[in-house]
Amino acid sequence: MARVALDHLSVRFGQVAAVDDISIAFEQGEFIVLLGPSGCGKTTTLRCIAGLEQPTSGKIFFDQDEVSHLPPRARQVAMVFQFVSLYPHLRVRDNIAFPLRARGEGRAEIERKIAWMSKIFDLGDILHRRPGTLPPGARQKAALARAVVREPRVLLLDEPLSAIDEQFREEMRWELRHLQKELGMTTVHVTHDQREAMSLADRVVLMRAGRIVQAGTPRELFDDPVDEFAAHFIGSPSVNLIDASFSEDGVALGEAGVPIRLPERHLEALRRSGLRRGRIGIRPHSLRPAGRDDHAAVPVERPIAYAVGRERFLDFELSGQTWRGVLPADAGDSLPERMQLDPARIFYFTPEGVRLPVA
Amino acid sequence: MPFHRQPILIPAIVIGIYMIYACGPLLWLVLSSLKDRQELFSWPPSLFFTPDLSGYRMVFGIGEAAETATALGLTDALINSVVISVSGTVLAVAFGTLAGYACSRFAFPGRDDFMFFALSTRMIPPVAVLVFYHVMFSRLGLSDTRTGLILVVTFINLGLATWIMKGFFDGVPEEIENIALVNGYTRLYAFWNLVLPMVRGGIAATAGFCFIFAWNEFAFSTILATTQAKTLPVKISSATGATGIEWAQICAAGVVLVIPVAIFFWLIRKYLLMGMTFGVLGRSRT
Ligand SMILES: Nc1ncnc2c1ncn2[C@@H]1O[C@H](COP(=O)(O)OP(=O)(O)OP(=O)(O)O)[C@@H](O)[C@H]1O
Ligand SMILES: [Mg+2]
Repeated sequence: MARVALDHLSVRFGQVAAVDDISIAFEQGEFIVLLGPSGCGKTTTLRCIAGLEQPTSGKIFFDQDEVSHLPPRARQVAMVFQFVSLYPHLRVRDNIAFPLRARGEGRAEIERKIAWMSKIFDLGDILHRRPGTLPPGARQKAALARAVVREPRVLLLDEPLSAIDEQFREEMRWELRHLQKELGMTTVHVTHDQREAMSLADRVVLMRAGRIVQAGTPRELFDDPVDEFAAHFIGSPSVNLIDASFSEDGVALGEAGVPIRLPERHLEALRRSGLRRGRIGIRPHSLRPAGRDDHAAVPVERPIAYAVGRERFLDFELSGQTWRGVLPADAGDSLPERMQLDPARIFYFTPEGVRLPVA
Repeated sequence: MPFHRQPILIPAIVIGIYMIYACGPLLWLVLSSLKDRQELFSWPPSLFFTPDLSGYRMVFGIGEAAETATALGLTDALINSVVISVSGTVLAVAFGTLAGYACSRFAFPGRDDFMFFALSTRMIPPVAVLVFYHVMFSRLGLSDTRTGLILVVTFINLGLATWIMKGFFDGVPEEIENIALVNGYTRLYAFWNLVLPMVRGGIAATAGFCFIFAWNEFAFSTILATTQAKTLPVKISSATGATGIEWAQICAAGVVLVIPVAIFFWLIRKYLLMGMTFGVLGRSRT
């Protein structure tokens, strides 16, 4: 298992910079998730690490070794691909033996390792079947087994769970997480599903247009997004956002200019920034019914309450926009007239979407 | 006549007429090759007669028919044709497969220009480059040799072979090689053992096209092959100008010319349509 470092990595396709000057290191044994919208360069980054794509510039290190221009077979990586993961003409066991045969391992050794994988991934029943006859979940398990069996320096997974139905996906996530910890594999997992990223990663690397927007633990990304894009991309239900104008008198929200009383500390920071306009964001779980005190509270108009499982949500209108907050489970049927933003969890953004620190 | 039958009747008539138009000459050719001189010129042409094989005997130089002054003796030309077409096909398919693979998988500078150039070689009117070939071949000592004609036929087919094979390779997901590459195999291994078996149908279709073009090639052969390397089409056409034409013999030669094409078409009929669409049919993903 290796520590993987990317040093000013760029990949260009003509005018398009698919990966744009990325520098980051993945520690040994870390579960990294590359997260971002479609086309942001996740797969390209992964292909560079695997050696399937040549970087236009920049370097890649596995521990001390520079591998930037080594062919894939010299890198000892394992990769599970997004679309085709197994050879359809080979039985599952031969698929698993495929990388071992490349290294010329003996028959007994191969048998032993297949048995080992079969035990870990519970493949007993399907070892002798061909991938085409298996459901997607079982296929991805076998693909993972083939990736793990060669004990790679780094495990690369390109949306391995996207073809699997919702229910089985949860189970696979759980297994993947355990396996990764058990074997201590440095893992780079690609997904555009933020829930998957949050539930798997030691560290999430959020990407956009070939660049890293933010890298950090799931908690850090959730609580402390660097910009509006990060705040919006992570968390479900998604963050409430509204335009705001900042003046000497205070802060007003939306077109209607709904006034809101904010902590003096925040107002001070806004004044220092010299901004007249910007945006304010709050996650639904930090927006709760206000008590007597109307500090950081907004009026509730046209409210609708509903429950998803045991969680209760309140959708309401604020200056022409729909906002979402949560209600306590024991709140009864009466709806609050005002909702309060948890002051410690309010995000302030410049009109360009950059986060303004207020702490 | 019931009205609802009309939609079938009209296409049937159209197709029937087309079939007569398409197959009539072929039938006439086969029948004529079996007729003696008297039957040949009788009007209306007879459908039932005693077959006379002297045309074929003359073509292949068998028995006393071969002694006739007008006998063509096509055996040599037949051997030339087979050697040239088969070799040219093998070469064009081999190189076209490699070039098609490269064009499908690697975005090298000038790839699109190369692909266009490759196809444009097929569109050059042979007459335009004949003189050039003639001069070059006589300098190189390739005039009137099988080697020379094999090169010509390979060249004509290479562009088309590259295009058809690229289409088939495009239909093979890139992951097929990528899986092998990251699992410790070379690209050559992946190409040879994994990708090639998946495009067998494409290779068959390409070979079919190349062979038929090579077999029918006339313009270059007629100029570049003057005596020794004469191919079947050239030899046959040269006989029509001579005095005392043996029509039965000409027709027999025509039948000999058509048979390999027919056999080839029949063998690769499954893949021909794929080849014509440059492998677009049956693609899993572009
Ligand atoms: N071979 C290529 N040639 C040209 N452009 C490419 C190539 N591969 C990727 N791109 C472009 O580079 C950008 C990044 O692509 P990439 O596949 O890395 O995105 P991704 O984040 O994996 O997206 P997705 O979630 O859709 O898989 C895209 O704009 C894509 O169109
Ligand atoms: Mg991708």
